[in-house]
Amino acid sequence: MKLEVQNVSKIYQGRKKPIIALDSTSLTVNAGEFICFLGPSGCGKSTLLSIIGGLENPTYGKVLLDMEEVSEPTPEIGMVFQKYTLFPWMTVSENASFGKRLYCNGAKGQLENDRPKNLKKRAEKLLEMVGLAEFKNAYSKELSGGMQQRVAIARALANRPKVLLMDEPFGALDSQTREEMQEMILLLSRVEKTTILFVTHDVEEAVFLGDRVFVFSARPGRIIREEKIPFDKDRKPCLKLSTEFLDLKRSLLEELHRCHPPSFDREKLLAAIEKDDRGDS
Amino acid sequence: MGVNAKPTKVALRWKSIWRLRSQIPWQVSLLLTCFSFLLVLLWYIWKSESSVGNLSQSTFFPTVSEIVDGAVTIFTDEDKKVWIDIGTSAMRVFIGFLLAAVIAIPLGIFMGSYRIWEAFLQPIFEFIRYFPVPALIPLLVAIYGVDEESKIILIFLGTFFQLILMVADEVRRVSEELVKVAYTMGANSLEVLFKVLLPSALPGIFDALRLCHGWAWTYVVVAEMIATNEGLGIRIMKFARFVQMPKVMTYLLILGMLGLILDLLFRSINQKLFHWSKK
Repeated sequence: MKLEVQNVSKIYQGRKKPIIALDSTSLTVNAGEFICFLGPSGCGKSTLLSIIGGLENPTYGKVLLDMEEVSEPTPEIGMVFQKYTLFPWMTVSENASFGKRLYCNGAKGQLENDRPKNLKKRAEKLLEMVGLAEFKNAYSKELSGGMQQRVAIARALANRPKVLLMDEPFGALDSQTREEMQEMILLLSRVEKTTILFVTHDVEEAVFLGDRVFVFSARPGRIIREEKIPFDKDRKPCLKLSTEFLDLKRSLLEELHRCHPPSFDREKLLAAIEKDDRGDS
Repeated sequence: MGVNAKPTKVALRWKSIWRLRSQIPWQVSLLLTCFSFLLVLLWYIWKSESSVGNLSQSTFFPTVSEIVDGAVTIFTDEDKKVWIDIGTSAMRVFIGFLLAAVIAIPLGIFMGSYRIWEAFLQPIFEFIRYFPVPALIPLLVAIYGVDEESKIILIFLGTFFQLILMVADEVRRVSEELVKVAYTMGANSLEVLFKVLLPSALPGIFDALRLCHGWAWTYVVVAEMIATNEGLGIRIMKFARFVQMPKVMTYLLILGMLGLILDLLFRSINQKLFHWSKK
């Protein structure tokens, strides 16, 4: 498996002038890698993910998966969103085997590696792995946000995609749940040997998860730094407290702060504190 | 305070019922509902009793006992006219509304799913929606004659354009991510339409049916202005012509009750079918 992004740009027609959401971006991802896209909102990292998934078309450039151009969504490239996307009328296990049922109903044998029966077993096994076996008959309205995301991940993996795209999947979760999910996805990626492209705005998350981290800047969206993370695949939450981890985190944070000055007027606020001016004089 | 100290029960804080969207106990809710009916009843009793002796007023506001007498006459009538009226009107509503639903639901789903269908149909339907349907009666009579056909078409026209726009809106309300996630799992457009958009929008579509169904009962009364002998609408007009107000009131109450029962029926079916829905 090899994923290549070649000179991909995305330009939206703004009201007055064109907006460059993503400026000529290239990168190559190898099998089994865990890649993080890090950056503030509006830096084009989600746009790039959508383009890789075939959900949006690039203005220039192309995306190649195993030398074949990706121009529309394919089951080879799975996706997990920040928003909860379980089908509410299906139970957890029906959700997890959604891909499989498409296959059974004659979806042109796109999933060559798997017989339908295996897929059903896979869905159940994945639900076990994410710890939701006993909830398999529950509906999404009975589940917490973290549980819903775990089902969404199991559902995406059940299809056995070559690449899994994750667009801030833990962004809406509380920080305890998020840490748990981070460790889970790391382990899952090792079990499944799936290549993962993970979008986040959280520096710690990116460093903890990624084998490589691409740092994005906004307006125009482009990659400003590629950081190889020196830790091996076996990572535990306590890693986040090690000096090496913290040094990396500091360096990336500084990078982000350098390209993104605060959007409020810091000097003005500091001056107001100095003069005890609350704005009502 | 000890660990086992019994917590004191917090009494209902009356001030909080004025807070926007705050929950109220079901007893209070039921009480208020009964109170509203009681208020209308009391107002009517006062209005009718105070107009006794005033000929022009008392004719139009028969007393409650007169209405009861009227109702008894209607329901003990040997020809069972009232049941024929209910049956005839219900049949017209059923056929007209069914026709509207059968066409509006699939078309609305397409309109909400494909931009080409939206561009083609939405503006023209928005335009036609504002035609006052009762004003179309002469046209309908000219085209379809004075038989059942024109009445059913009128009910159809009264509900179709509302329903189709509501159905399309429900389909549009389905989250974009749900569609995207289905595509990335290998679904083609038709599969997304039938396995994601349609089931996702169904509870909303069903609720749209409930709302539009109410309008069908209004339009059946309008439709029965066209020559007919049976039906709740025409009967009301006949009673009114002979100033038999107690009977008019009875029929109005029948219409109200029918609507209420059907509404409850729609709601309970909705809850049964779509128990997974958050609403």
